[in-house]
Amino acid sequence: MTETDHSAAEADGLLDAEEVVERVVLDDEDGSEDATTKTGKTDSQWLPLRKLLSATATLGLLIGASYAFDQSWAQPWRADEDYVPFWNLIGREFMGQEAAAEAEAEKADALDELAKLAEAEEVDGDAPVPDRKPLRPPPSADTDDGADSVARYPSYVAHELDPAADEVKHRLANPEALEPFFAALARTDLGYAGAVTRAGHWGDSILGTDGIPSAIRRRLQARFGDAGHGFHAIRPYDASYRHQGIVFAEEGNTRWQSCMVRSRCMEDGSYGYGGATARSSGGPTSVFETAAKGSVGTSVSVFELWYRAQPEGGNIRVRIDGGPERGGEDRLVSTALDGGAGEGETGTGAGAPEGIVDAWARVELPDGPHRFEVRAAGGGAVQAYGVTLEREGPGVVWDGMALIGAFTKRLLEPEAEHLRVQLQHRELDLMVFTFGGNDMTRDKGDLRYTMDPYVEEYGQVIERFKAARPEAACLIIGPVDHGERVDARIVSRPVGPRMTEAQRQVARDHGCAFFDTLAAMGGPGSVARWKQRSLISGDLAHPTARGHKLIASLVVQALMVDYVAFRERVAGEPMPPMD
Amino acid sequence: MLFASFDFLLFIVPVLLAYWALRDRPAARVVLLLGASYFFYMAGAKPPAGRLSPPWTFAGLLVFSTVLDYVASMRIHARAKALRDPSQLDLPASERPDDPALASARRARNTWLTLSLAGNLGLLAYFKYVDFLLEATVDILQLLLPGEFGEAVAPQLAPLLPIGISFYTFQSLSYTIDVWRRRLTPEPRFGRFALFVVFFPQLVAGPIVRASEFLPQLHRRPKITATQVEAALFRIFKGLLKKVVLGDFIAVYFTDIVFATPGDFTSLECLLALYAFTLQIYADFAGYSDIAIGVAKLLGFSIPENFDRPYQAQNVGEFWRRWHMTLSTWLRDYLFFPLGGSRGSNARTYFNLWLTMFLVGMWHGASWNFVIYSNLQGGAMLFNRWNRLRERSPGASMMLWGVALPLFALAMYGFGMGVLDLPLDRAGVFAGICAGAFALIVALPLARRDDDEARKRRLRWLVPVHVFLTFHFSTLTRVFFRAEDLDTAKLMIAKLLAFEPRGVRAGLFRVQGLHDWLGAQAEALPQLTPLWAPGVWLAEYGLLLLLVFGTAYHFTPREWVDVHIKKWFTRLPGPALGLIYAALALLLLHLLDGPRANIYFDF
Repeated sequence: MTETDHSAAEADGLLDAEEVVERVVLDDEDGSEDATTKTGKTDSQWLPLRKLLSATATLGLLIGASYAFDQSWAQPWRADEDYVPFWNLIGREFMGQEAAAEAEAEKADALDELAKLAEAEEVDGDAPVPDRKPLRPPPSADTDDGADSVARYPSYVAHELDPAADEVKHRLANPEALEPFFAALARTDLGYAGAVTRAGHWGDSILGTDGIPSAIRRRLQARFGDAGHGFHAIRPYDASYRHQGIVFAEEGNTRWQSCMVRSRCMEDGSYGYGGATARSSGGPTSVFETAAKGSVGTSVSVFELWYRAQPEGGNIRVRIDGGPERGGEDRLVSTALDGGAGEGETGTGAGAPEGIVDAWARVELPDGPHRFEVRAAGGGAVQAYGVTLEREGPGVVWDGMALIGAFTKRLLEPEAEHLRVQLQHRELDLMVFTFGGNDMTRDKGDLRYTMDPYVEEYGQVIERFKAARPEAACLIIGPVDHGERVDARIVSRPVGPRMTEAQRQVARDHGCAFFDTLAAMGGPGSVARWKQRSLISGDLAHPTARGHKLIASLVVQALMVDYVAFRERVAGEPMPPMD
Repeated sequence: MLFASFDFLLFIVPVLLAYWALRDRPAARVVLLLGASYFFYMAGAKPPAGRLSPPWTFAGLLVFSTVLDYVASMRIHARAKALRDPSQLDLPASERPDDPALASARRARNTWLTLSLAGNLGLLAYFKYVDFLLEATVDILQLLLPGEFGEAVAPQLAPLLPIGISFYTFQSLSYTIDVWRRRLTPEPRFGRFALFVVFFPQLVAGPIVRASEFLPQLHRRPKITATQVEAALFRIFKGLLKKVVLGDFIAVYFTDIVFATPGDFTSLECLLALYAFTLQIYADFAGYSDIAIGVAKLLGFSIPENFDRPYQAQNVGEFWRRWHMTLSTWLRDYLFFPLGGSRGSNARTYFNLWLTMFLVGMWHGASWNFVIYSNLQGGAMLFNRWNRLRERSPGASMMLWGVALPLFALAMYGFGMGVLDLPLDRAGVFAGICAGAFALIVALPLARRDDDEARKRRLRWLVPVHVFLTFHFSTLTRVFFRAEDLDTAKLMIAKLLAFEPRGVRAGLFRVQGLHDWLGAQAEALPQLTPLWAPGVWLAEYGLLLLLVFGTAYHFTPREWVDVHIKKWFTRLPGPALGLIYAALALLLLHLLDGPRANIYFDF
């Protein structure tokens, strides 16, 4: 009997070796005649195993000690857990746990199915959303001569993308708070020229890759029309800040200096609409280009640069479609306050140093694919907030503004008057907030026993934003279920339901609608199922791209059910005038 | 059952005690190990998520495979033994005498071999490849006949893959084939043969053991020395550390996250995830093999090595000799050599090389990803042989640079555009990188084994260059190995080629639990902040440090670990070893969401 060496010579490749032929004959020997040594004594089998036995005994003693002295951190399993050793045989076959395990697996399958449906929705394909033919808006109720000319809501005609109300399990709380948004949406839905419904969506890293906002954007634009991608910061201040449906690049040898609310780096609180600003003395270029393919975002007709005008401010060059050499054009925007800052409206930041104003440069173009290069062109320091890419409408714009790593209270950093000017310029119909992920880490600090401090500060945030843009409705999207690994299991963090309830209270107290994301995910404990189905990532806090789509789909369904209910309720009633 | 689990500790201690107590009772020993192996196979822990196959179903398949191969090999051997001169069976057809008994024996033996092959490979094909074969058929029909099959959807049978089927199928097939080739006489005792098929240390994830290596050990009384016990304990410790810390931990906190949604990550983050996966898959599988070898050693068995620091390989051929050695040598011995190896014409040799490497690749998975991965490995193997043997005359050089290189670049350009769906400019960059690598390798001087010492010394600088190139070929082609599907692989490649200047986001390498705990300690005892600060920094970059450490470790001389650290480890007294194992168990308990299955369980 021989053993074969499989390895070839040291420097040879796998298939360079020569075949080695050996023959092995197996007889009926079983080794029992070897029981004694040559000296006739039986050798002990235990002696060589001494070290193994003493190591095992030590390990056993340590495990035993963790129970004897109740050190749960060192216990491989605890009495209050459902641990069954050798589960597949003992638990499943002899303790009848198969049915429960199967039920749990079926729940996960159902979730998977739901996620697949969300992914398969037509809006995620590349077929472009058809443009709608704009209609002339009806005369405003303010200017009518008599009752007959007052514009009224027509009866609602069901749309093929409307969800069936009885199939939508998770509805909004306080949906009446969304009436201003629904009213704007109705005008867009009716196809009135220029009827663009705008929503601004602020959140922490859960919005980081534009996953949830872009999925909501695509769905609403498929239903109501594509009015453009919306807002994009002048440069990503974090690797996680990226937008879908827009091609962004940075050029030049220098970079914009970013500053966002998390860092509390602007003494005058001028962070801009998106909560992040960028400064430069010259050199860097940010490129924004419409997406080459996709159902939405492939066209733009209005480009707006958001910046700050200041004394001795420098220049920003906006190069459109490659500049004059390629059939486009260049526009030079002077940000010097005394140099005729901006081409659009301006507003003064009350808390800002004297003589500094927010300003906008607007470029109108034929609707279609375009490329914009925004360059700090020297001549002094410049400060910019971002850009918007839009179309004339009718349609929806959903701005996604991820503030990576920010606590909710960081939304109090923008100076109040500056915020008012920014939000008023944006003409928002809806303000959406999705925070709480970072605040959950405070459960070991000031939120250990009470959520009151959080409710208080979130309330201040809402009031600050509502004061800045009182015309807009407000929606709070609750936090996702956050998990942690406890021994051999993934469990939900207890702070999740507390955070959800705190946000529900804020919504109720401050006139916002509320979407309970935790309940929609399946309630406490759902994080394990979401992880199992790759809907949430390994950090058990951030949904994956599939998870984004599922959450967006659930939010949009909830919005649409209440929008349809609104339209059915207001049919025949006077319609508010368009702005 | 998973090695890195509390269940396994509860299992292995009584098994070891009972086994050595029965040392002098061979039949009882076999029964004990048989029972323990089936128990090991069937009694998995409740998975943190997902389904676990019912225990009896797949144990039934194992029994079926065992009985089929035992009966087939007995019949094959019996028909040879009945002949007057069985050696005539080994003669080539042209030299074989015209003997009806010989012809009948050959037919019967071939029939039994075919039965065994069909039974084993049929099970493997059904459970592992059927869905992909259906999908591939529909995809090809849609490509060729879009009018008729444009809307066709491949039916999905989705059978649950029995754990370890790719391993035990190959293992038991080697037995039948060796008996058929008359290189092994069949095992007279069914119990011993059944134990060879299901021996628990290597049942579910290898190493793939040959009957000729394992069965003779069952014919001997087991022996073990104190030195062997120490070596086994070190091997298990090393394996657990690799599997849990460098394998599972990096997977849970980094690679899985990036590969789940590569679109959300920057080019650099995607590249780092690829490096991390390269380290992770090695640590995972080599760690598992270390544990298997160590556990088998504690039972007095010697099973073959499966890894030999594969990323130190200087070419693809050497890489596959060092990676999953028991699979690649299995296919070499049972496929490549029977096909003629490299003894035939050039074309035949290249075909044999490609087919063997293609099957090595496809053994790992059934999807278009693995078709591409297998062909890349096969292609690299052919290139490696061609480059070593090619003519180096001026005319050949002109052909190489003037024709072969542009053709290769064009092929890569087509591959980038047609298969990877890259836009024109990115396909160009992709083709440029591939052609650059091609040009570099063919331009490098060739070091031969029979070179004189002076030339060898002069060309010593080539070693790190070749190791670097081979390592990166292996790393980059793993995109297809790891990505869930072809779309994810394409997305990952597009990301890599985007060269985004965005760097790495904050917190990506953070060991969150440790970071939070240290943060809470610092908050509770702010006066000790300077003490906590280094810990917080380590936790912030923990995964990156592990990645760098793990990769660097792989390139250290083998003696550092296998001689020096081992010597230190084996000098420790038993209770100290118990403490070390307890610390490792705590690490497992707190770092992860329970034990994770070995990656190769899915194969």
